[in-house]
Amino acid sequence: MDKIRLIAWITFKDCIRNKALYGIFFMGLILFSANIIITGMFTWELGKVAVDMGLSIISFSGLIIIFFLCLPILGNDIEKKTVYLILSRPVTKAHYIIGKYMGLGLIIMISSVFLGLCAALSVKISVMGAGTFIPPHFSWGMFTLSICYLTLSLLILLSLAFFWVCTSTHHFTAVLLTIMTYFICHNMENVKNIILSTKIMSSDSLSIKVINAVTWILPNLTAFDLKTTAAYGLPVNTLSLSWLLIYGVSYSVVCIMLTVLIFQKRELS
Amino acid sequence: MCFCFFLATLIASNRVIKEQRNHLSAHYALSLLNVPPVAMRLIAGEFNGIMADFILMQVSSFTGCGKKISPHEWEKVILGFDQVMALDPYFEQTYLQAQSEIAWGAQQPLEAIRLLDLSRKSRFWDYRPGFYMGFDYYYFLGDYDSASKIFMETSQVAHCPVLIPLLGSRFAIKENRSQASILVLENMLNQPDLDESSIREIENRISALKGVLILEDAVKKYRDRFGSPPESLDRLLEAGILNQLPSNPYSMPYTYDPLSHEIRFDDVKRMGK
Repeated sequence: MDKIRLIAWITFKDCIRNKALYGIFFMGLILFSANIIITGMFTWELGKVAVDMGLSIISFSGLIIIFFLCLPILGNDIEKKTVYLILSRPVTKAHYIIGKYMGLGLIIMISSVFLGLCAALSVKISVMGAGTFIPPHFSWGMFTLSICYLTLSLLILLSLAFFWVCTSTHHFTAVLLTIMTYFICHNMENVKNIILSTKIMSSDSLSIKVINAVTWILPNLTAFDLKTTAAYGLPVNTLSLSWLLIYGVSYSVVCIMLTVLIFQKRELS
Repeated sequence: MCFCFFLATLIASNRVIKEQRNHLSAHYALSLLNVPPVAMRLIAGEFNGIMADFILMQVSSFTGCGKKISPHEWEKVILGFDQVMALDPYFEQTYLQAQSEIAWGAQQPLEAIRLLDLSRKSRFWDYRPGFYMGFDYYYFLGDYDSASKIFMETSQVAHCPVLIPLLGSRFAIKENRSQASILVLENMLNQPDLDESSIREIENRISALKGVLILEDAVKKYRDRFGSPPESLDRLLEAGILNQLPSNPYSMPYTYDPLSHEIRFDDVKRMGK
């Protein structure tokens, strides 16, 4: 456990020193400032627009962190063989993967907290003096919960990114597979709903069966998207959210465990 | 020297381009993705909220720039609203603008009603989409029955103003609609936050509608007995079907149209096209 914590801490410090992270934060701050201007272009429900923008910026920044910070760090370690330096110590491949994941996961969580505070501030400023334009059931609690589930979806995507990096032969392939996975995870529920609602195919067609099978393999990231719920203060089912949390955590753990198994069998030379 | 030359060229060309493009307003093009609304969610992914905001901003800029919009361009505007509804059916600004621009601007009340209905289904806490639907049915289409039905459904929304069921009951000229209106209004009397004037209004309306029901029932009995409807309400007294005409709480006699057999407690005139 100490070794995992040490690798996680080193990874975390490595990321903090990486200038790309500051670029991402700076981009986030600019977008939050833009949020205040863009919200002013709307006449009604300024709160909803501000919340939408704020949460979307956090989501977008999280994706940038995964694709431009986390994936290169992990990919370079393997491609440039710097992983040998770590594995030459009394550290197993499992310690390495779990430690790396925890370190990069911590970066995502801390950036979500920082960007979440910026988002809350931009929402507050945007709707200052516009009390009648805030959806009646909006609450900061729901806003915070939405950021938590957003972060959880990013951690799930990170675990998938780890899986692809450890299974593919080239870093670029891993990036493409992660992007593809992201799109599939966010759209498979929509595709199924479109097929069923427009009755293009019947509910027992092969396409629906394939989609149902895919939902058992890839996570349904749409379920973790609570932006609309937060923006309008829509009612939520606490039991559903609890199951979602369990699903998210267990998916990440299973994915990392599979990654560890594959990485242990992988020849790095 | 080379740098100065290119810098001067940049400044001059930028000035020319800015002057050339100065006359362009948001009207010159409404650039929307020409995809069915259902497919928009696939394109937007998790960013459906801001994509909806962006499309609505484009549509608003286009319709708000003041130039005349052709029928083909109105179709694009309606597509834009459909796309926004598909991405975010909860957004208030969408239905408010749809009502203002599609019903009034484009003179397409049926399209406006369709968009308002999408909002109504999602915004369960908001009475206004239903109110605007009812208004469009009454004002633009002259469809009193649909207006009454929508107003009565909308009156079930929490904190709905008393005006809406009163309007619904006003348009309820068919027997089954009057009975439904009475039930809704009686249910409204149980709301705890009603003030005295609202209670009085509702009670008056219930009394008026009950009077309409009595008269409609009497007209039906007259027709069954004599084979044709009466020429006036006084004939109901002469035939002994009623001992007296019910009193109208609005201090005017009930009106009866012998051609359409409609009985009214007020003198609202049809305004629909």
